[in-house]
Amino acid sequence: MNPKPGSAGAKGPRGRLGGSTRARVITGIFAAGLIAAVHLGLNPITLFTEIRSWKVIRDFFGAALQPTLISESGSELFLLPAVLEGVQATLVFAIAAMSLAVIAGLILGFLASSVWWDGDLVGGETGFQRALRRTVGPSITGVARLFIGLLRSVHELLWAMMLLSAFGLSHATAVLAIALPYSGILAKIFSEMIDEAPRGAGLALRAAGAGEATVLAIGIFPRALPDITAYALYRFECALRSAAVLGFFGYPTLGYFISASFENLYYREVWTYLYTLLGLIIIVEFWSVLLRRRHDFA
Amino acid sequence: MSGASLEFDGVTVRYGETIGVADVDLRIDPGAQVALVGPSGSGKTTLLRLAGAIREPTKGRVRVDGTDLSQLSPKELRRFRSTVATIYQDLRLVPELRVYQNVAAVRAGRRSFLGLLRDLFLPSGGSVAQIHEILESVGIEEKLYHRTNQLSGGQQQRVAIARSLYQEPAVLLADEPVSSVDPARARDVVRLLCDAAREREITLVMSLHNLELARDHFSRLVGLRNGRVMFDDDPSNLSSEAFTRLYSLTEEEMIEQGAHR
Ligand SMILES: Nc1ncnc2c1ncn2[C@@H]1O[C@H](COP(=O)(O)OP(=O)(O)OP(=O)(O)O)[C@@H](O)[C@H]1O
Ligand SMILES: [Mg+2]
Repeated sequence: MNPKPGSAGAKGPRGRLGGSTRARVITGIFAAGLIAAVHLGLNPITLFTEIRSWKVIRDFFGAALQPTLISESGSELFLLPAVLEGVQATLVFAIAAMSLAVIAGLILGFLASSVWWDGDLVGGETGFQRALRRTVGPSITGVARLFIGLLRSVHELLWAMMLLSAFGLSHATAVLAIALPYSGILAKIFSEMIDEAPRGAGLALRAAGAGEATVLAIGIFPRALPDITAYALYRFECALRSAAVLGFFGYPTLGYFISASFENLYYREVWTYLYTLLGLIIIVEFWSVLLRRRHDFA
Repeated sequence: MSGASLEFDGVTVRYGETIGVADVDLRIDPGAQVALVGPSGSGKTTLLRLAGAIREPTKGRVRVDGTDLSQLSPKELRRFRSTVATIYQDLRLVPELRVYQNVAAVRAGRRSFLGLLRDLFLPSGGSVAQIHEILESVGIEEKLYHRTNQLSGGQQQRVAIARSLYQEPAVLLADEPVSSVDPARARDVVRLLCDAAREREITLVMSLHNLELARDHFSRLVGLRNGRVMFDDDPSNLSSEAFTRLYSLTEEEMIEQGAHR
């Protein structure tokens, strides 16, 4: 369920591998998977023979077709307020975290890219300034990439645990727990998108006498923007799931209600919340397709 | 603004071992129109890049209106570049921006960054009217507010032309501007560029693969081969052998082609 930090998602570094190299890489990945499975003693048969309680499974999946809006506790409690509260908290945490992460991701991603110091896009300065750019530029990019790596290498649940023990159960803690790793993930992908954006328009502006800020902001950035937007929207979907899961720590997101109902074995309630989450994600997906089509991003 | 003179004085460009152009001497008067012809790799693009101060010569001097480009400070270089417009074969527009934004952006060399952002995102009525007028002269004024990637290839090319004119340059460089449009449109585009340059007294240098177009629209052809000027004359003075010689394969190339068969 959780988004994997560091997964390239829909847009990774695009096909740079030749045919035979690709075949070798694919074989390698399968081999690695097989070795890992053997090492862990994974056996698809024991997965079924060692099941502890068939009843739980039957009850749980049996409830899938009967989600309920009336509490199973017998108190005739209406679930809609809880659903709405969960949706609202999930949305608010995801939106707050993504807003921070997109801003930080753009800044870090730009610093981690090489467009602002490498190649023909910038320049037109004195020899000293050029030397400065070519030594300072790569160093800053290196530091930015290291920082991005640090942010990315810790999963949002681990960030949540660390921040919770430091700051307690505040809203800021939850937002940061998502925003920190997501900033890293977004920055990494954004920097690749900025570096891979077609440079012709930027070079043309430069040839017409444009300064560096214009070349980068008008010639390069709009060319990367459709990819950046599409990826940020995809990550927003992941952030919704992350926010929902943070409910396990006690935040009033959908995860909180899911775990509460689960503990009471109210499986039909669990399914209500799961379907709500699914609906939320489908709506976001729909919205992002609409947005992309309207802006001709596809 | 009226045209500038261009002067190449013993100019050589090397890309490592490769020769871009070798020992080129050329004088182009203000407002003149010159076509560069020659086979692939003969140095046409290199010559245009020299004229636009995008590349410095390995040897020799390039002067524009008498100013040696190698003597310009970075700041002066930027100002100089803002007076040279270039039309590229691959257009080099920003497809995600609107047509008027692509056109307006070309004045970046004469605007502050914030001033340019305002031109692009909060344009004044005056600048829009000016852009509209230029789009009208290339026949696509109804596309003013369209997103550029919604235009056809031919329409986008007209945006690129409009952009170069909005720059109000002293020199217009066009690097094979018509190699991706059909023959009839190619003729229209070349005529449009020649007329627009003549009307504004802009110096025009255009590289062309299509010899017929070059002969029909230019009174001066410069033939390049292996980076050297083979001829520089009015097309009526040039024999068909001169063109055959310009494009004939070298012995090496023939051997290479034979090997491919
Ligand atoms: N950036 C570069 N790096 C290395 N060699 C280059 C570079 N640009 C051009 N050359 C070489 O310089 C020579 C002249 O190239 P140029 O692009 O000026 O030719 P051209 O006449 O424009 O050719 P075409 O008609 O194919 O566009 C060629 O041999 C080319 O391989
Ligand atoms: Mg060329």
